[in-house]
Amino acid sequence: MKKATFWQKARCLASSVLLAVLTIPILFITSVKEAEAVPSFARKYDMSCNVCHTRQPRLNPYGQRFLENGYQLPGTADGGRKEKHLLGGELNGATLDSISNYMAVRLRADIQQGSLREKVDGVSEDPDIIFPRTVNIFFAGTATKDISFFFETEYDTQDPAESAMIFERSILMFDNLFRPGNGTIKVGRFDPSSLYSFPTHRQQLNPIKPIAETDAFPPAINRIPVLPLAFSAKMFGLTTGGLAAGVANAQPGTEGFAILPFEPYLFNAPVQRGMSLHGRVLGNSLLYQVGLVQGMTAEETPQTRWDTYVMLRYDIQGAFSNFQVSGFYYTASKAAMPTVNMGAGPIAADQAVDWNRYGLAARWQHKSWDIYGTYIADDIDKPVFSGGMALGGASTWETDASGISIEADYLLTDKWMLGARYDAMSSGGLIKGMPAWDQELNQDASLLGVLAKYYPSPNIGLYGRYHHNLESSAKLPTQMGGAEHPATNLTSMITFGVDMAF
Amino acid sequence: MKKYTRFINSLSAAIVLSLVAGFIGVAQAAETKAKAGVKKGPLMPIKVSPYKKRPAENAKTVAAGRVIYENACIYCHGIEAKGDGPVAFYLSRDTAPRPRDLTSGVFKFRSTASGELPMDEDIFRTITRGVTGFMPGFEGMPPADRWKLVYYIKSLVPDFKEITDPETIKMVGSTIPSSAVSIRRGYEVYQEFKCWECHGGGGRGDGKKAPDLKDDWGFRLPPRDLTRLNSFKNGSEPADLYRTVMAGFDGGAMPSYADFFEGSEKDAWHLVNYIRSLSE
Amino acid sequence: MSNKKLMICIGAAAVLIMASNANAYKAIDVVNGGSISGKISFKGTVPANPKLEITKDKEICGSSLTADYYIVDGSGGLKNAVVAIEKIDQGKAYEKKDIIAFDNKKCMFVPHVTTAVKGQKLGINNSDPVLHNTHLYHGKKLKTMYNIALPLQDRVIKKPLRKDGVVTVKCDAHEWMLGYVYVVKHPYSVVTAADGGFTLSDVPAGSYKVKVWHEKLGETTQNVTVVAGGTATLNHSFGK
Repeated sequence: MKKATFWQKARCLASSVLLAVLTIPILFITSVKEAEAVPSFARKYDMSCNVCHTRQPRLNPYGQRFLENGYQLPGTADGGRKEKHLLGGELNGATLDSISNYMAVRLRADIQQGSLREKVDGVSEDPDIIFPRTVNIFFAGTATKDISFFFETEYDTQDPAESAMIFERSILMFDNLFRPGNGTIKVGRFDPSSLYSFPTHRQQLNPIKPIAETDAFPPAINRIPVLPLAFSAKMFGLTTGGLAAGVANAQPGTEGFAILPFEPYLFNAPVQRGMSLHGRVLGNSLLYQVGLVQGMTAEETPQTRWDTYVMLRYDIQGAFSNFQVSGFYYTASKAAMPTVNMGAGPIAADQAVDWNRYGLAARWQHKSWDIYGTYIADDIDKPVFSGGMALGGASTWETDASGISIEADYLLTDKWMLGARYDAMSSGGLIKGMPAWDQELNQDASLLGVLAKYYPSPNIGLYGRYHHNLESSAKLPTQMGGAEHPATNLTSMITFGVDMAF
Repeated sequence: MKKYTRFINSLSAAIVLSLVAGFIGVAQAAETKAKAGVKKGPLMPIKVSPYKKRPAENAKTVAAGRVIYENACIYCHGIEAKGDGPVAFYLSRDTAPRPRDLTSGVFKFRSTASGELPMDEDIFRTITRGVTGFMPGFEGMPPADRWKLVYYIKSLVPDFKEITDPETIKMVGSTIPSSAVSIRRGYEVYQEFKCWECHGGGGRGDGKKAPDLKDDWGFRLPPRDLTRLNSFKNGSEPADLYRTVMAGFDGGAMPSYADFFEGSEKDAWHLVNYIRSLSE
Repeated sequence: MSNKKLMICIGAAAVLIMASNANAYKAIDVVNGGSISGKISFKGTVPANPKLEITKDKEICGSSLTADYYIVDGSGGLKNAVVAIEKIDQGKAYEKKDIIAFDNKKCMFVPHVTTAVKGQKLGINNSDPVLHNTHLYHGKKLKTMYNIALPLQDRVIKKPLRKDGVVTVKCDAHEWMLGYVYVVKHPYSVVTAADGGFTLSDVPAGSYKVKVWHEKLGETTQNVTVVAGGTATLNHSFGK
């Protein structure tokens, strides 16, 4: 590994100082004392951010219930608040808040430096100043009593092609359809895991994307991402299809053709299009959710597919504490195409495989502690490759995989938060890419991360985080592009940044 | 004569009995008489009129209030209303305010004298307006539901059954239009009554006594920065400020100044004008 | 209505009035009353009175003050303990309108401990030129009873003591200040003098439970029998 030169280190220092200096004026402009708070819901109800968030962005139980209730105060249907302007006169129920009560902006910026054991093409070891990294603009609130909306755009500077300021998430909710709290319908593009005990949006440790090329198979993964591995696809050797079975196809796929084993998929693909129904039954403690989300099958001629999922969550309230446990089952039929590449291009299996995902999560909050974790298991059908003797024997498949992610956050003081996270993934899918390879393709991954976050005001977080790749000492070679397997290539990642919402 | 005997006896009985009854109530009557000429009653002000269609207070509405409480309030105030909901530590670790322990019988925002229970309307107002920065206002909840919550909250403190008529603060006079003269007089009162010792000379909450103030539960309690009107938890209308100064905050460090304003309540209204002028 | 029935009505009303006042103490002419006297002391090494941290107003309060929790004289006599009969239904008269003095003086409460009869008024005064706020708490749970600002010097504010029990007195502005008012329903309570001695006089003959209370050392109850014209002795020693 090359040692950082003096100039590289100096640049690193200068970048940090520059970032700090740039954020200070922003702090003065947007800093708030004590109880005054800024983003839209806090403005609307005149509350501190921490009424709904453990520390922004993570939701506490009150915030979870607010979300469940369609952005209305839990236990109420306050969409028809008096302060709204009535459109069309007194008798007309449609209302419009002043814009600051439903619009908010979130800005994330950081300096990232990953340390790689083997320098690989396209991956630099210099610190990346990513300012801003992501900008989200939200519009969220209630149009009238029990009708809620949520629109979010996300502009990610690391993925500018993908996120050209379109609405990433757009949701319409019809709340409290039966008895209050019993049933809410959500329609649009949303994250299916938003009510799960380990929701992956609005986490303390924002995902750091991989560096990978997914248009060919196998994909060239040069750096493992840092994100909750429990939700990752975990399967090597899968693609999104569009190939004829058994035929060596020299044509590379398009971006996104190869399903990255480390990237989130299914129950937490960042966004899915569909609808869901959720509500509380048997008192206030049991939450159910059933959903239908749309995708494409991984067949030669892709067709629309409908995934279904069911989630149950049980909450127990106690003195200064909330304990919840949730489970889900998600099934996607013909969701992926097992593929091998013998050198002449990717060869598809006879049929796309069904993919089932099961998860169990728990969250325990007590006073200043917030500890949550999930175990998620995946299984796919055993792929069948007919034609070509070499294919049948060479590639064997592990049809199941699992992952675990656990995070613990602790409020040291009102302004300081410390966190730690452990992720591990026991991968599945294609065991060996080619018979000649002596190294197995699918490798487990595990990461340990620590975080310190300082909140000069509730809506601004300054953080420093360090991630260590627990597998890095294994130093596995790879034939996947690059000198070393991505699961071991990254040794550590250090990041400083700011995450603020206003 | 005989036919009147019965009548006279009945009349005598009635007179004697009412004298006897009057004897029991005579002390109260004298007290009420002494307070004549002074308005009693809750100082709201509140945009929504709570007085229409107030439901009856009985076991049924208390039970309905409990159901509403379990859906809307337990996350901060706790299942047993002891202020121990899961959210309490995220609001603040060691600084007041924390969600109120509703079983303590100690209420902060009242129209009643120091140490007294609040009026029903005070609790209703707090639920409706919330506490800026910390508790959402439940204006979106129908008024009848808010009254049921009031009755449920009252059921948690046995003293409410005995004391149905707490002593209110004296509401003498009303808002005096702001003027340089009034603000000047308010400033004099602010100096004379030593408000600056806690609230600071400029009203920023940085007086010499500010750093060590604690509430009844031991949490650090910074005095209000009076230059930020919209952060006043008891409200920032003139009537709200009058009420704060007269009633004090039970459970907190802000004492009642009612005894010192007695006879010169106008000075309280001048003080109110001065405080409001600090935000300009 | 017959005369007989009328009498019954009036009688019933009178009984009801008397029944509603059954708990109240009744002042009577105590003829040939006895007394309870004695000495409350402390045995063993007297715990040190902590030094109070003076955090503000040093020009008035001084730079350091010592707490007055344990005051024991040479003979072991314990000052500022309270001796009170627990329950007595009738006895000597007392002046309901008496004001019990309680002063903020040089940032301490004077007296440190006093007694009062339920319904009497506590006359709170501020002898210092700084703002004190006298914050009274009732009972073991320290429930706020009054929180009165005293910005002006030498102006007594009177507040009725409506509940019996131990009233703890503090000042929010000066957190080291501490005092107590021991409130009972009758006039038979007294604070021990510097030598630990006390006397409760004009006690009607009978058997009583007498409580001895100290703010830090705890409390104890003893049975005392008062003989007409005689003096019953009650001595108690806290500590070993």
